[in-house]
Amino acid sequence: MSDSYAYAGQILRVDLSAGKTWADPFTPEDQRKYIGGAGLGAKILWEEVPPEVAWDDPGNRLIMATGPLAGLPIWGTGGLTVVTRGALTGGATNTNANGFFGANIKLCGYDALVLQGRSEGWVYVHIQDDRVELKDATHLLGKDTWETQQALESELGLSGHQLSVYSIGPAGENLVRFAAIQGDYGHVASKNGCGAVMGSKRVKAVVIERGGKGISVAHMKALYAAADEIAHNLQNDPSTKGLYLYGTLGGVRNLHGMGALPIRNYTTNVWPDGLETKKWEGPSLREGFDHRGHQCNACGMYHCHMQVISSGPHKGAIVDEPEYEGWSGAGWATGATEPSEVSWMNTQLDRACVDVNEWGWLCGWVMECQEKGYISESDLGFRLEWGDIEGANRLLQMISRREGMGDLLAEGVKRASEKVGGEAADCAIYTMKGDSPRGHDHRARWEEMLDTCTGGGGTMDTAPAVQPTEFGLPARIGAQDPDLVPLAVGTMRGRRHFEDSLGACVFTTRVRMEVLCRSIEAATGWDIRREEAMTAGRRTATLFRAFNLRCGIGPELERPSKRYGSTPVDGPLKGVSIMDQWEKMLDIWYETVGYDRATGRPTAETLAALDLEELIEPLWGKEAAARV
Amino acid sequence: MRAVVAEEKRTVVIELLAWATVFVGGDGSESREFSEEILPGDTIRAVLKRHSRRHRDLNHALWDRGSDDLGEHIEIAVNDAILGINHTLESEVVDGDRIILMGQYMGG
Repeated sequence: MSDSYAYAGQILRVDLSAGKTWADPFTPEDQRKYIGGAGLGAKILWEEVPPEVAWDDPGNRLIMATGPLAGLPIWGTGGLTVVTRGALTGGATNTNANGFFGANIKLCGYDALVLQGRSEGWVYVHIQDDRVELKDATHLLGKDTWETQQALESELGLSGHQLSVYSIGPAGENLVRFAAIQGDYGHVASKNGCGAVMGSKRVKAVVIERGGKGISVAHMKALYAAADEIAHNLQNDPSTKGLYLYGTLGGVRNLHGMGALPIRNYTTNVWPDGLETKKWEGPSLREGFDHRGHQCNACGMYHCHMQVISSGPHKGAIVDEPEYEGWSGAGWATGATEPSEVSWMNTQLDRACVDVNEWGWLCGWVMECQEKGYISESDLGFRLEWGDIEGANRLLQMISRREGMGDLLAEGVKRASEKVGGEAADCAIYTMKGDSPRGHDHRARWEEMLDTCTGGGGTMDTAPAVQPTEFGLPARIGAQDPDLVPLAVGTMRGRRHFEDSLGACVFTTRVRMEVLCRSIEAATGWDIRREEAMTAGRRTATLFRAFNLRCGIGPELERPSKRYGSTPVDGPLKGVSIMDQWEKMLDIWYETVGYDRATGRPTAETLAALDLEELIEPLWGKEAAARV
Repeated sequence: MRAVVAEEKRTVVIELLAWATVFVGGDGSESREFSEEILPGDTIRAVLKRHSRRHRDLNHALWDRGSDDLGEHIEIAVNDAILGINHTLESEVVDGDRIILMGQYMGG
């Protein structure tokens, strides 16, 4: 049993090259400073992965961590955060999945698993309380993630929530640069090619049986009170009430109204003529399918569900109900507008196991390039038109196995479009770092484009403001306000990193920070307030930035590709250009976060304020370190 | 003898889309439209204030209680352009304007 409340107090290490496993302590001092999840991962990444260790080098670390709330009776507390040096940007990755991983690993006695080295042959990691084994995975090769989970359930004689299986599909095995890690049927850590990193280590899956160890908390009654308060707020707040009832299904209709639904690779923001729009509202997307709840650990949200495909060639297939970004990446970005087809495709992406957002931009780009003649039928091997779901699935299988042109496309949209070149390159959506936005049209959400381009974890860092008045910001932050948007993104920076360190779902942490802190205080016994929580989050964000700078990813790459930063030609933001305001927004953002505008480095003062003095010398030299 | 001229009523349409309909008694789907009579000099703020006073949940969702400015929960478009592009809350409304209210997005 751990010395400190809410933590297991141990980090499980697996050296795949040597075939050894052991546990390192997660000390109470480090728990308070780094919290867990993203914070713990950032610390390990900075300390153990030098710049010469590339994403596919055995020396890279794949950190799968949870945090202090995991396994407790607060909604959505099965959280897993994956941190590594990623395949798309070559920089830090911070990506999350939910389900039961976080709860199960803590009940086995660990706060995190760190995979290092490279196995000689394919293995899966089997964790059963104190027993950790590397088992032969040859029989699982070629299986998709759902088949892998089913095979392991059968092999181990366990099902349901008795075990978590987080695995890669064919895409990860073949080092597709946007391969993901999927678990518990539909939960995906998707960003920056973390699945390719797992594949490079020749690990097919991590399998955790629900452990038998207890988790002690400091104040049990207060913890239940905090859990009740969070649940009550989520059910009654005007924004989160929709999330509580329908998850993110309402996004399609709302985002279309705002000009933020990405249709056909950013070529339009207007529904196609004749679309039955009611089918794309939250209640219709839920009620239009036979469905069943598929909640994560201790969660009471009506968010995650399984569906049965209701019509078409895949009628009767069981799939995971897409999140908004699934409807977008598997559907709207590629011109597909029939919900049952998009839902099916979304699960094929989870099973082959790639990031649905990068997929949407890549597939949409190929479709546009074929339409415009930049990629011929003979180049690709077949004709792929807007909205062709069966063709999209054919493309997915080619990419997952690196067959034909799929080998080039497996490099991701930035590298593929640069290779094809010419006018085709101008149509591709990505950041200059090499990652890509989530499934929105960020030309209508300036905070997300700024956040994605300056982000340090292979995706956006901060996300749209939650409860901004708590931070002295106005309740209303106009999505195209060039002064307020960067101020808000900079001011809120750290909140999401803190949430990503807790072992909880970010949809259940959408409450005031004071409420969130009460739950952590009850769990850990710490007297923690918003300021400390935000400092911990900003520390994590700063570690990721420092890591990226050390890898050569600097401010010169903090901008969108030509198409990503283009001006909408129709819809509610027609003619409004973010790039006219870009430099001004960066100026404000840099000043707000305390980083140096010219070099991108966190200033020595910022580092000192975040208790990261040890970074001053590597970033600024000995003289600066001596001055502080 | 004075001529009696019937003054024509001037109105704007307030439309609540999809999820936003729950704030005016809907089920979160399709849309609800209201015709709101306007007075000379009325601004978008004035019209929305008057309208939301008749719907307690909308009033709660639309305005920030601390500042009495717009809250974070609802996005607004005026004549198919997002508020802030061609109009602000202080812009005067004209007969036939269409104000659309929609739920903020939650990401994911």
